[in-house]
Amino acid sequence: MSFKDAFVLLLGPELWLTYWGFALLIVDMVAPRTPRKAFGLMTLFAFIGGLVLVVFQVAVPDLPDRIREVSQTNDLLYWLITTFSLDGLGSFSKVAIFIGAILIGLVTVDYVEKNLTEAIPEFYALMVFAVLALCFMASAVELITLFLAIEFASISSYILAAYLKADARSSEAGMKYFLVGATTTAVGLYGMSLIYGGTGTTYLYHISAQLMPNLGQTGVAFAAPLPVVIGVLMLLATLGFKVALVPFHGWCPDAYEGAPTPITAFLSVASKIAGMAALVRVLSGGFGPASAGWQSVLTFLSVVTMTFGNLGALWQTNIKRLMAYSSISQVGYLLIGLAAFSPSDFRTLVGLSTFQPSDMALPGILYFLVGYAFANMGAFAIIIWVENTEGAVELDRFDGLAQRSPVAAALLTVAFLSLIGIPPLAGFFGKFFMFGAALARGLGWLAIAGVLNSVISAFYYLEVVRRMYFLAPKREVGLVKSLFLSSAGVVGILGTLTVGVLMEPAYQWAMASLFDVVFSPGVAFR
Amino acid sequence: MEALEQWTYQHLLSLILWSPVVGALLILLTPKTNVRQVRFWAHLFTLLPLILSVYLWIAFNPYQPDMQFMESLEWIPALGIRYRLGVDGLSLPLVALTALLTFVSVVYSPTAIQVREKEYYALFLLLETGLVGTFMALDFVLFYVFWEVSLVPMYFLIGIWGGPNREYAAIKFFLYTLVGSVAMLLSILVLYFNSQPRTFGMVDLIQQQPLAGRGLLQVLAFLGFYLAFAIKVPVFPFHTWLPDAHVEAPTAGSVLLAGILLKMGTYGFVRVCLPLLPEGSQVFWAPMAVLGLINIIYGSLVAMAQDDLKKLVAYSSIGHMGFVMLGIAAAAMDGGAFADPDRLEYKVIALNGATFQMIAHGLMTGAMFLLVGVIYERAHHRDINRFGGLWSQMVVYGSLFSFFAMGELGLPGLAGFWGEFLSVLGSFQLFQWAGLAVIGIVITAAYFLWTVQRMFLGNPKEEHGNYPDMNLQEHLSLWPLALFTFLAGVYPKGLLTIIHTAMENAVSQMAKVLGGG
Repeated sequence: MSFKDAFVLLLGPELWLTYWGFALLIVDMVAPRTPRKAFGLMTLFAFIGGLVLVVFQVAVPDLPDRIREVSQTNDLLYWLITTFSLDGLGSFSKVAIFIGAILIGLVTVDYVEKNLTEAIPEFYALMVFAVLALCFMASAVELITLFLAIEFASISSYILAAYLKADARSSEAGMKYFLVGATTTAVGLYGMSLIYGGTGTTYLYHISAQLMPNLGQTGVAFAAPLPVVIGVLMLLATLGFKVALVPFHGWCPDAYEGAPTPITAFLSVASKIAGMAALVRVLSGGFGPASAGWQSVLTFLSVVTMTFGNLGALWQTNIKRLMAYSSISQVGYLLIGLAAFSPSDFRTLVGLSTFQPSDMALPGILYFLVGYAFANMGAFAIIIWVENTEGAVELDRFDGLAQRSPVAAALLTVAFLSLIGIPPLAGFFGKFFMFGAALARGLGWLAIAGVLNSVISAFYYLEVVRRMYFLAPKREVGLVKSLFLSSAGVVGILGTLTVGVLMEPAYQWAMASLFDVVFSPGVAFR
Repeated sequence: MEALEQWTYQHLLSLILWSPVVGALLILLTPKTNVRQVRFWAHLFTLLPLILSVYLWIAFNPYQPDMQFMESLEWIPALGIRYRLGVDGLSLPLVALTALLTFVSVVYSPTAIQVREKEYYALFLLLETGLVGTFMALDFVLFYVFWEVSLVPMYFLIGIWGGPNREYAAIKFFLYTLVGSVAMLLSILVLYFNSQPRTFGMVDLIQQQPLAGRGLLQVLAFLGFYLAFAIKVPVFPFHTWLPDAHVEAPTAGSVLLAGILLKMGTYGFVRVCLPLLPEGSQVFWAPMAVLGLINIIYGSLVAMAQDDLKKLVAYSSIGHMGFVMLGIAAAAMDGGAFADPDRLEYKVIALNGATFQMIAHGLMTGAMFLLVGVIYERAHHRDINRFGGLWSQMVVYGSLFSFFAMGELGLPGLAGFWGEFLSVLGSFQLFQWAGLAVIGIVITAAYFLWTVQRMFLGNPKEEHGNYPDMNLQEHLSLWPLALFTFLAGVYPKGLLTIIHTAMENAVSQMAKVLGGG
């Protein structure tokens, strides 16, 4: 394999997205009369192609190893793969991101048709670039690269959130998102400098190799140099901002409410998946041996996040705000997986052992993300469908939906049941893994907090269901027909159901994906 | 043909389990306006499981203590989760009862339900699968799936077709039950993580006894299951959802709520708590017995105070389920009982009574709710005091009502007698204060007789003058229940033989763990 081959194979999906992002802009320039829908279809095609390419990368046997082999004799490639790694965790997250992105592409077309009047190709191009940035986030194995990826994703998202120029709330969304984002990224960057000061490196595999002797220690001084621990916690601000972790969630409800709804979906699904992937990689991979330093903080934040999200959601009257709080609480459940991280998980991450199926913590996070992507996107497809018909998304717009549009109501109900965690939907098994991981690690109280939160969450999800099924419709007309929205809803729900009932392959793949994602420190790597 | 028969025989449980889902899908594919077609599918696909469960009953070997008609397929091999089904003497009667009650409910429904029928029957069929699956599942994850699946359709049945306060009742029912089930989920996970090799199989776990001697952990696991089952039963003080849900639910929904859903709780106690967590059960036997007695006495007293006929029946359920809990508590009690063959026999008697009571109560309360529905459709109120002298106008209705009232108050010769009698007999031998249950029997007799007196005797009232007697659907739905109530009363052996084998098995399992036998 030559350098060129390795380069293309390594960066296939990212290169593909880059080309398409520019292609959208160029098409707009050379053929300004191109119908709007064409841009949407091109975007969709870009995302589907990206998914195919990621699957191709996974399907090529031993691709990561072969690329590593080439890098032994090629400095440029070596430099590249120590910052941008092609590994299981990255590929799995990218598949989840692309599933989300395809569904977002589907729901965007009709929304744009209805709500945007100008700068439409740029809207699509920014979406493509944002997804590109998320791919970098999922694969970054070096702190500066990660920082750049996060910034890239954030800046694209700021613009997208503020895209409805006529709507003051949209500008507010972009502004709040930007201010919180800028602050937390600055804090995170400072944290990185502390980490660099403490370890002398920004490469995650170097960091984990340095901390390796501390593996499993829980004792004094957090089992790591104090600046490093402080640095990690500051870095948590940046990553926590991406996934809307309390206390870095302040932007979330307002940004979700004001942003164009497909962008809300993007923030709550694709962006969150990439954020969680980075969180898993940095914390459990890079700083896994020093888990004593961050684990207790994360355990605490997990409880706070899910409780805050669920309690906040109870009072919402706007479904986009409700989804904002709901997605905050879902992150709280996901963090249980990191709170239940154990040293033996780290040994798998560096390729020294393999997972047993009962090591549910980290594979469970990945599985949860896929199920969450399907269910949440299914829900957003219906929300946008209602918004396109009604022009607003206050909860009372859902009154009697079951009689106006039974399919839409049923799909939204199933999506919400999955988010509550009703079996056999994917949301159930995601929570099953999280609570199981907590119990297996002796964190029974965390599992209890999790199940109590599930019960609270049932209350507000069912409030929407109640409105759809138990109340009489205010208008008799059904929802406007939309092939894109209905198919996005159906795909989302079928995905939730399939990943739930036939959970084995997804879980097996999640387990396999986490093997050897931090270069083995034992391997003499030049 | 023979191959087909063989195939049916091997997959009998799956056929019973999934045929309602097929029916639900067919209904969803039928246009909303074609109500006749919708009803036809609903009747067909509740009749089918009924016929199959009759076949199951006949083919079942009552003297075989192990699970029968087992099916076991890979589902999620990574976690040792399998699609395991099977029935024994505990679950077989409950499966048959579910099939019967669902069928009669569907037969009854066209009289009462006239709006959104397509959704109604689809949900009803889905509910049947959830209920039957709960009784058949031998894998904890599968059990949990069906347990939750039965929750969702009932939420909609109450919320859409229920009475004036339906929305509140629906969400209350859902949240209460969800609290219990998530607690159960944690207990299931605890069992899984302590099993070696890791499994979710109920039978395997009972063999393994993963929490034997794990003091606190076993107690906590027991409490998780207890919460789930006690809310479902419902045991005082977890009963407050019941009056709301039962009263607001549409008639057919109440039939299944009282007839089947409550039994999910007591079934869980006998299937899971006693054999799998004997030490935990033993720790809590006294509170369980006391709460059972409170159920009996408190439930009956509150029922007596009701003027609303449906509420009265709802509270009478709380009282009757107390007898089941009493029998279960007697089985859980130790104090050296497991070393003593005589007292072991009393435990079996008490458990026989408890399980018999589940079936009897399902038949009779199901019928009672149907009877409430019959009069409500005519009078559009349920105030007992406003009725009077109905017997002279509605002869068949009055007779059937009195018949079931006699059954409910435990008249010897009808189904209700044997359950209460055996349960109190068995537990009295083990702890004398179980005799307090007799107070409940007396109160129950009092309020049922008083109800019959207020509604059916006395002078006919003007406002009820023109009520027609029962229509065909009402006849068709009530007579089978009357028949079985009578049969189980005069020939309890038919049912008891089946139950006895399973109960003996459960008690001997406990005795094995607790060192006595």
